[in-house]
Order: sequence, then structure tokens, then C-alpha cells
Amino acid sequence: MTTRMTLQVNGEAREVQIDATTPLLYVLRNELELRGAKFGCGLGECGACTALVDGRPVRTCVTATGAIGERSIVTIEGLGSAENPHPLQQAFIDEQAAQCAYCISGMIMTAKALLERKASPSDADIRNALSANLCGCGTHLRIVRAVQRAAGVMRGETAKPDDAGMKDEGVQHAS
Amino acid sequence: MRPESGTGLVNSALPEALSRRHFLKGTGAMAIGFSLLPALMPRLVAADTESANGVRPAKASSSDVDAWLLITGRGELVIYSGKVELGTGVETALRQIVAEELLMPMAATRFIQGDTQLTPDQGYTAGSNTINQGSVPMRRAAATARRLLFERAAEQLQVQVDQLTGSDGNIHVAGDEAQAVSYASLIGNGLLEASIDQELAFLDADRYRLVGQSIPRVDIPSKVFGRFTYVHDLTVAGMLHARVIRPPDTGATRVTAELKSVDRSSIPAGVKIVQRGNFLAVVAEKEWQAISAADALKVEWHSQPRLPRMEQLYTEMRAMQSEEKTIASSGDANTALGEADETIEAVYQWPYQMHDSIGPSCSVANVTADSAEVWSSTQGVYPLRSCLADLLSMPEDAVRVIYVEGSGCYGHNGADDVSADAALISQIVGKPVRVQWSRADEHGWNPKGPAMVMVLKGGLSSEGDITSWTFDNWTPPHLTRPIARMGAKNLLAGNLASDLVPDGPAIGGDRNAGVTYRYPNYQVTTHWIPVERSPLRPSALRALGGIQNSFANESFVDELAHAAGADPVAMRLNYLQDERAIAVIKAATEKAGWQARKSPQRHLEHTDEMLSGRGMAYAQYKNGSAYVAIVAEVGVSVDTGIHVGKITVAHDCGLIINPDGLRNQIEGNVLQGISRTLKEEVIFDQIGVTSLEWGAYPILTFADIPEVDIVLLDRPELPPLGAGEPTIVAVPAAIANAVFDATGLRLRTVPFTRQRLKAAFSAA
Amino acid sequence: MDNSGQFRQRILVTLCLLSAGLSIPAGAARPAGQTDSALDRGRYLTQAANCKGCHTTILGQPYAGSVAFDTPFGTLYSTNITADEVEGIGAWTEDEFVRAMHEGIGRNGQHLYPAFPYTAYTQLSREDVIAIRDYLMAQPVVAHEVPSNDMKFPFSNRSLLWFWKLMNFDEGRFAADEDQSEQWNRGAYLTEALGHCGQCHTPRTLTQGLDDDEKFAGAVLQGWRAYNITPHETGIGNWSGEELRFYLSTGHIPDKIASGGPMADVVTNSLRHLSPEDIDAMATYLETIPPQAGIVPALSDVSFNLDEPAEDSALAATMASGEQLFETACVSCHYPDGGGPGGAYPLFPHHSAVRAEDGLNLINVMLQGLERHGSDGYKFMPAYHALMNDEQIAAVVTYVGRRFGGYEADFSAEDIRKQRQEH
Repeated sequence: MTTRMTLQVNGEAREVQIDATTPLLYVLRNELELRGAKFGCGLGECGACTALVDGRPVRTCVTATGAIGERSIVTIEGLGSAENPHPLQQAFIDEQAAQCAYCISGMIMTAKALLERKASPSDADIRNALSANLCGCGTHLRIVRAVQRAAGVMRGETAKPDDAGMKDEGVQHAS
Repeated sequence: MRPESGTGLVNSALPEALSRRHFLKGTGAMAIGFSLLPALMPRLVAADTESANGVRPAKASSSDVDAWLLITGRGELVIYSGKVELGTGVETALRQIVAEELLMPMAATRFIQGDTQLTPDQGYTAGSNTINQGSVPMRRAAATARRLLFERAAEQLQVQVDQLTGSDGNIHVAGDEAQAVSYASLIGNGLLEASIDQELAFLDADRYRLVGQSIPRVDIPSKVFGRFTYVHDLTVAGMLHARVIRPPDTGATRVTAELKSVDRSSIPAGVKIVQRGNFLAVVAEKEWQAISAADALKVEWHSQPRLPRMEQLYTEMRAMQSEEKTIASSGDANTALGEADETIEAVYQWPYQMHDSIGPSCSVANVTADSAEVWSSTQGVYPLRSCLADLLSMPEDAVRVIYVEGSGCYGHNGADDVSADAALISQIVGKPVRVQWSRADEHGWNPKGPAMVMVLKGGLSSEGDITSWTFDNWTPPHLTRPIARMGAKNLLAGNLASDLVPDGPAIGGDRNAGVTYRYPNYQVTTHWIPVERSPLRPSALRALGGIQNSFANESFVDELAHAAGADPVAMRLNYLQDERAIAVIKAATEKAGWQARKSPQRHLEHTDEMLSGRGMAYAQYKNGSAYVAIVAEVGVSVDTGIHVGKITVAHDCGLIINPDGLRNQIEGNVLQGISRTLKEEVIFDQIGVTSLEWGAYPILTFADIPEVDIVLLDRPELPPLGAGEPTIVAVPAAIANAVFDATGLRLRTVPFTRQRLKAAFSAA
Repeated sequence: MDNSGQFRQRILVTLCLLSAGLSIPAGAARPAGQTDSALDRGRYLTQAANCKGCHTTILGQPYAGSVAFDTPFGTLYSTNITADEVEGIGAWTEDEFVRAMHEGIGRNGQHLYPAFPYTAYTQLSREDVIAIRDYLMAQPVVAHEVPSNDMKFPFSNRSLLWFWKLMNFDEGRFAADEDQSEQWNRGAYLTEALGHCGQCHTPRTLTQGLDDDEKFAGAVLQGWRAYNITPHETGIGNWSGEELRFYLSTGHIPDKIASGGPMADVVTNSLRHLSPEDIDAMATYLETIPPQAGIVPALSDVSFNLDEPAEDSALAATMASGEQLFETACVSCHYPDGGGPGGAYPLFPHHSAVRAEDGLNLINVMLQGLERHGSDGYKFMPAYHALMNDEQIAAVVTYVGRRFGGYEADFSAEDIRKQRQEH
């Protein structure tokens, strides 16, 4: 029992023929070939599938596509690209804020929604906003730094030269 | 320009894009291997030509695959790695090492990993062995190629080899850059092959330009743009989606439930049911159809409660029939114990834990009558191929396993099992099949890091010297991975379809069981519990038994220090002679501003008091690899639990390849270590695992993260050692010792939940 | 043992949200053939009496006992009621079993603590009690030894129960009210005797007997609030008959009410198995209970015009934190303001747990999550006890209470911590 519907995805109208109860995640990944949002739990617990719907972070694994209607959907692919990276994406590269990175697109999308609400978040704000996004590799410290860095860039502050993400300080030549 | 990630190249047309001929088209090449068959190179090139006409290249059998490097006439350096990128950054590090040795730029490197048709068999990517062992043949191959290219250049430029110098894929006469020749022009359209020369010296450390630098990870850009292809993201033309419906004895080593009935009318038309023995799956065109059908299918199983009650687990483990093995001994520990002025004994317990992979395992397989291709995030393509061949009743050479990165795995998670699921279903339906495990599948069925019990006894003289040390642990083997030529028994699909029971060698439970302290008398014994007696299916989880054993050993050193009234740091240093061990302990304690102390600082008196304390732990991973010392600072209150405020790590893994990559691994070890120490425990009832989602098996969140301060001790003249695991082994005891320092409460059972803390307080 | 496993492997496969917008079907599914044989009848009665609920621990085997009950007088453990001859009831005669159910007297003649609801079961007919016994005797035998009760002196002395019984226990079988319909009487029998609803929903007197003057007006037990289930506007008075019946068999009313905690267990273990006729009978009876005012205000009495907390106040910070957490952790399944796509469980203000100013059940649901099998399927919410810390849960509950409950919620980490210790 499928229906035809038009979704507003990353600024484009995309037509799909689907069962309306299908969670948005599977429509993004399998019908629209936007695979940046990941399947993590199917229960809304981990945040790996997060996309923005009308600017709010939504767990696409538990959101029926039929309920989306005309709302605007933004996925990690719509945020930026190698040629034109979003400050958050650039900050995650600069801070090397990834290990396996399976959780990272969800982290970035959740952080995007935070920075829309709060341009100058404290580290505690960032931790709070991301605390329902799970990371198994233990990349949390870098993720907080990356979001903080992106916030600075988005506020128009230029990074100081000594503010490079990767520091080799703390390396002692032991021999 | 940043080199593209190897797997970043992968797309839906994966097999073709990865083949060697892709790099050979229209050019010559130099290939370096151990014993290249003379026939291999022409065949590769012939295949390249044929493929242009749509003819499939002949398949290379495994014995042919031993090329490690290919330098093309276009100046590209192709690395064939049997070790794979698991999200830890080894791809970048290996490219650094090989490009360095060949005096080539990073941007010229390409990385082909884990493919039974293309890459050498390097076993599993595991055990922190990629940088220290896995890189060695690649580096030798690079040194061989450099030597050959220099010899050619000397000939062409009419000078002696030792007059030449090189950089960025060019060779020139020292002091005269005009007299130069590029690797590309040296190779031209010719075909060169050579065997690895084991005798050649590596580049001197003082010439390193790439090694020792924090080169950015090659895979991160495509990952943050959502363009990286994980195995979850692969599609193959005509691919169907399948889900496996599993019996109730979730995660048990022996799956004994029997499938009684399947109500085929309970799912919609268009969904196919596949059954072989107790292996049951649904297959559909659309993924959501398959998920919905798996949910709707009415199945009746017959199962029996066979597992021990959780509260009896550790008692039962010690009573199980086990095989006793002495790991290390010196002097007469038992006699010395009897003669000691003071003896203490402590029992430490560690629960089953699971792989915190955020993405449940996934695989795509395309099995036809005479061939099988399986895309998998396995840690060992060759062992998996062997076991899949058995499962599919096909010859090994007919099966090709291709590694595609998955979600971080930290050991033997569901990656191999899901590949077997996909392969078996694809064989039955005769079409390409993708299987994506559910969260409950991964939580329930991925093999578990084993529960262990450690019993320690120590003797002290009246002067407070340690005169005797005995260690006994009870552990199942930590390895039931697919093992070549062991058949399908270590694949879940094999267990279900053919009633096989997993098995594995006695590995891992004795890791870091012994210590590197020089006690006059010691006796270290491991009691191996057979795989099939382990209630839950045991296998490799980050650091194997190293984390459990170090938790016990390093807690117990502190218990002895307490009994002797000594500072825990001074106590350790008394029994260490290895300079590198002493150096990491001093570096960590100095960085953390350690003040010599007799723990505990005080005794907790009220449940609402918040006390802080510090503890330290040291380990040399595997008692022969990297050195780690940790200082933990914790805040403790019985009412609110334990919060780790800061962790200071000093780390010595010899030559550092990539400091930032290393720091990233250490941070990950620390955070996962805290998670495993404070939060993680697999819950099961007498039938199977009941922790089937993150609410029931919580892990560290952003609310729990500490400050992490890292000191890296670089030893450029020493071989590099792996860093994926060493740090985690020292985390639990550092926290336990800090809790003791703060409160006088000694926690000996992980995880250190509020309930455990409260119980310890009530008992004190 | 064929069914418990099936339950487990079904868990979590179902998406919680896809039941969004469900309309109420005319009648709940009827369990097949429950009167076909004596054993089936026994199973049906055992389910209706929810023996499993109190006699099965979370990780334990069915009916093997050991569930701890914290009472003001100490801790009691439910007994093993499998047919094991030593640990269970295997050696009990039929009369001994009937005496326990009807008179609250154990096999050795000792008085039983009334956590075992013989004050309700006494009304069961002898043949129903025997059918339950026969069913239990046919279940898998579990040789599980239950811990000894840990009662405070003097309550450890069971002879005191003689006095308790004198004050609080009327032994005797159910007597039909001739003035009421057969259906009403069936409902009364199910509600009062088998279902023993009053054990949780009726407040207790000082001696821990049920206070029948406030029958079903709501009470707190084991850290959870059992709500007012009388037909008062602060109870179920505003529910339609159809809604009440749907709720009984599924544990929820779409967009309005969702049961959690012990009530979800009652639905899972008991109510979902009842026939539509019996559900109908229970509803018919409940609709005639004298209305009582409960402590949770009716939705119509709630004003949602709270003052915003002062800027820079601690409460404002808590609210900001709560809103942030709500946006990421809660909103995908709960769009309580209708401002987003779907969501399975919207319209928070309808939930008693949201309006109840003690925050008790709301905090419990955050800590323990929710798991329920109703006749319409499986429902799940994750437990956040270790995925959020006390401060975070306090922030979420404060935010939900103020914004959707309409009361001056201001919960602290301490409130959450105390609530954790209930469990």
C-alpha cells in the first residue's frame, strides 16, 4: 500500500512512492540515496539517524514519513560539501573529531540545531544538547571542542593561529 | 591536496572500482611482494586490457596474493593492506609509514584493504598489532622499492647510489637538484617486480617528514560530509533486504531452542520466508517491508532455562570444570605466603560486557551457484572466507570477502555473523542480499567480552615488603572468531542452521595476568573454562582479558600498599626496574601533581558526603608492549555515585607515527574504559540476554566525560607499538584506587554503580 | 516455556511510534479458546488474577517467587508457587491451597502476610481456586529457594496477623448483588476478587487495611502512584465507555493516556488476556463505583498560564536545560505541542503523570522507561536511569511539569535521587 508524496529535502522537492508509515530514515537512505543519516537503534535512543525537520533535530528512525508533510528536511549532505563545507563540518575536520564516525552526522545535525538556538553555548550547553547522542568510540572530548570551534567561526570570530585543532604539545622525547 | 580514502572510493560499483587493473590502465608498474609469481604481473595487466572489452579478469587465488605495494608509471603508490581501518586511524598511519619509507608524498598514496582477491593475508586486524607488526612487511616492501628505484636512477643518471637523495617521488643527485629523475619516469611503461628484501635498513629517524607528524586522517572529510560508504551504505543491483528471526536464548553460547512452528500466513504477500534448521529469515524488496515482516511473523520456539542466575554467575564460574595453567611463577609463592607477617586476599569480579558499536552489524552478499562475494566489516577477511566456504559448501577460492568499514567494533562484534547471515540467505534465494542487524540483534547476539573472576593473595613482611603474590583467575577463552579451517561453528548462522557449538583456543584470559613487578615469589594461574560452559558466547572485546586482569592486579597492589602503609606510587616503583615503566609512572604522576599519600585520605561517614580522591594504575600491555600509567581523580558520594573528574595518562608506545591519531586513541580508551568501569554490564536471565537496547545497557554519555590530560613519551629510535588497547587496561584500577583513596571503600566488582557503592558503604 | 522466549525476541523490534493515530477498534482481540479445557480455564483465571506479576522476578522463572515487597513493616518476598515439592507448592494438598487463598493461612497453619491479596481472593469460588491450582501445578517446576522475609520486630511475629485479620479481613465468597445485572456482577467479581484492583488503587488505613470509604480513589504503593479509577472528573469520569474498555485491554488511549510501571505489568500479564466480554464487564462495574476526588487535577481545572521563571534564576537554567534535553531526547516520539511531525505519544497534558504535582510517576517513567504488551501490541520507552544523570532528569521533569502539566514544577537532583532509591 504505497502512496506518492513530495518531500522537501535539502532545498529540493523530491517525489517518492512509499508506504507512508515507513520511517523517514529508510526513505532518505534507500529511496533518495542520502545515506549520511545512519541506522543506530530504531528506538530514538542514540541519535545516529538525526536530521533536521523545520530546523529541529528529529530521530528519523522513529518518525513516520507520512507525518512530515511539507516540512523542510535537512540532512548532513544538505549542510555542506567538500567544496563548500559548513563551519561545523570544517570544525570536525580541524579538530579531527571522529574515530569510526558512525555517530558523527547525527552529532553534527544535533549541534546545528543547538547553534541555531544558542550562538555562544558553554561547554556544558554542548554536553547537555548532545547527551542523548551516543558515541561508542569515546570521541566526546573532540566533539565538544569541534562544536565550540564552529560556534566561534559562525559568530564571525577568526581562529587564532595557535588555535589549531591538532596540537603536538605534550609529546616528550623520552630518549 | 588530501589523498582520498581507500574506502572513500567505494561506491555501489564496488568490486570493479577496487580491482588492481584500475591502477594499471595504460601504464607500467613496479610490484613488490614476498615471492611474486612470475605469472602474476602479466596476468594483472592482461586482465586490465581485457576488462576494457568487458571480459572479467581471472581470479587470483590466495597464494597469488602477496603483493604489498604497487608503484605505477603515473607515480601513484598503491598499498595492499591485509590490516584494515576500523575507525582507529591506521589507514592514515600506514600510509604515513609507507610514503615515508618510499620518500613519496601522502597525496600519492592509495590504500586497498582487506580483500581476499587483492590483499595479502594478515590475519585479523586486532590486538593493537597493526602498527607494530602489520606495518612491517609494508615498510620492508617500501624499502625494497626505494632501493630498486635508486639503483635505476643511479644507472640513468650515471652516478653512484650513495650520491643520490630523494623526496616527493623524485630522486636527484645530492647538491644538484637539476640532475633528477622521477619514479614515474623510471617505471614508465615497463613492468617491474621484485621480492621483498628482508635485510634492507629502514630510513633513519632523523629523516622523517611524515612519521611523527599529526597528519589529518584521510577518512574524516568524507565522513563528516555524509559521503563515506560504510558497509551499511552499500548497495548492489537487484539487492534484497533480509532480517533474521532469532530464538529466545539470546546470546547464549549454546543455542538450544528449537523452532516449533512458523505461521506463514502472518506476514504480507511479497515477503519470502527462508528457513534452514533453526535459522529463520524474512526477505523483501524494501527494507521496511523486511523489518515489518520480521516483527509480524508469528513463530513458536521451544526453549529451556539453561543459564545460571546472574547472582550465582561468579560462584558458578569458580566451580566449573576448568583447565589450570601456570602463566608465570618464581620462587615458592605459597610457602612464602604462609611465612609472611601479614597476608591479604581479595576477589575481583568482572561482568560480561558487549561491543558498543553504534551501528548494528550489516553485510551484503551475492552468492551464485559457483561464486560468492561478501562485503563485510570483519576484522579478518581470510578467516571469514574459510568459514563462509564451509557454511555455503563451496571451495574457498570461490568465495571472495571484501572489507568495507563498519561502525566501530572494539573486537569481535556481529560483523562476521551478519556476513554469514547475508551469505546464507543470498545462497538460498539466489539473489544479492543485505542484512542489517537490529539494535536488539547486536545487543543480544554479538559475542560478549567474558565475565571473569580474579583471586589474589599477597604476603607482606613486617617492613612492608611484598614477599609473595599469587593470582588465580577463572575465564573462558576470549576468542571464538571465525578461524580458518574450523568450519562454520563460529558463525551464528552455522550454530542455528546446523546445530554447531562455538569453540576457540585458550587465548586472552591470561593477558596481563602476570605483572612486570619483580616480586621475590609469585605464582600466576589461569583456570580456563571451556567455551561451551561460558553462559554467554565469549569472544574478543578490546584488550581481551587485559582489562579484567589489570583491574585486579593494579587494585591489589594498592591494597598491599594500604596494608603496608605505603604510598601507592612508591610501592610500585619499589618493584620495577624497567626504565620505560618507571618513566611513564613518573611522567603521569608529575603531570597530575601527585602528592605521596597513604590511602585512604579519609573514610566516608555519611551517604550525602561528596569526597574526592586520586588513584593511579600502571600496566605494560601484554607485559611486553606499550607502557601506560594513569592518575584518576574522582568525586564520590554514596548518594550520587562516582564521577571521574580528570584522567592523566602517560603513554609510551615507542616511535610515535601520528601524535594526534595516538591522542585520539588514548582519549577513546579512557572514555570507553570509564564507561566499562562505571556503567556496563550485560544482564541476562536463565534463558538469555535481556539487555537489548541502550536503556538496559547504558554507556558513557556527554554528561559523564572527564578532563583528559595526556603525556606522550616518544622514542623515535624504538619500534612503534600499537595503541588501540593499552590505555584501557589501566583505567578501571585507577578509578577503583581513587574511590578507595577518597572514601576507604574498596570496590572489587565492576561496574561501580551507585547500588554497588551503597552496598560497599553498608558493609563497611 | 514456549511463550516467554517469544516475548523476548519480539521486544524492541516494533517501532514505538507507528501506532500513532490509531483509532480504537470496536473490540479488542479475543484470546482463542480459553474455555476449551480445564487447563485453559485455569490459565485464564491465573492471568486474570495476575499471579505471575507478584511471583516472578525480572530475571526469574515464571511463578518462582522472590519478588521483594518493601512495606512499612519490613521486606517480604513472594513465594515460589511452582510445583516444586520443597520450594514450591508441589506438596500442598488441594485443601491447603484453597485455605491459603480463602483464609490467608499457610500450609503449616501460619497466618500469611496480606501482601498476598487473600483479602480479595477469599471471594473466589472454590472451583476457580482449584482451576488456578491445577494450572500452576502444570507449569515448569523451578527449584528456587526464596529468601526469608526481613520483617521488623514485632511484625516478624506472625501471630500478630490474627489481630490484623480481625480488623481488616472478611473471609467469604463473592455474593452476587441481585439488584445488578449479571454483567455487573461478573465485573465486580473480576475487579474485586480476581483482579484485586483495590490492592493498589484503594488507600490504606493506619493498619494497612484497605479503606473502603475511599475505594479506588488512588494510592501510592512501591514508589508508584496508582491513580483514581472512580468515575469522578479527577479519575476516569471524563473517559468514554469505549475509551475505558480500550484502555483496560491495551493499557493506553491514543493521544491521551499511557500506562507505565506496575499498571503496564498488569496489562501485560493479565488484562490483555481477558475476553472482550470480561473487559466489558469490568468497565460496567467500574462505572458504578462511587466517585471520589483524587489528587491529580482534572485537565479542565488546569491553567497553563504559569509565570516565566526570573531570568538568571536557577529555575530558568533548569528549564533551559530541560528544554534542550527534551528537544533531542524526547521530541521525536513526543510532539506534545503538535509542532512537529507525528510522534506516537503526543498531547502530554492529558496524561495524569504529567499533571500530578508530585511528579512521582513521571520521574519513575524517566528512570525506568516503559514496557507494555497490550492486546494491540508492544509499547516501549527507554529507561534513562543511566543515560541521563539526576540533574538532567530533574530538568526534563521540571520542564514537562511546568509546560505540559501546568503546575509550578521545580524538581531537584535530590528529588530524582530519592526516587531512584525506591527501586
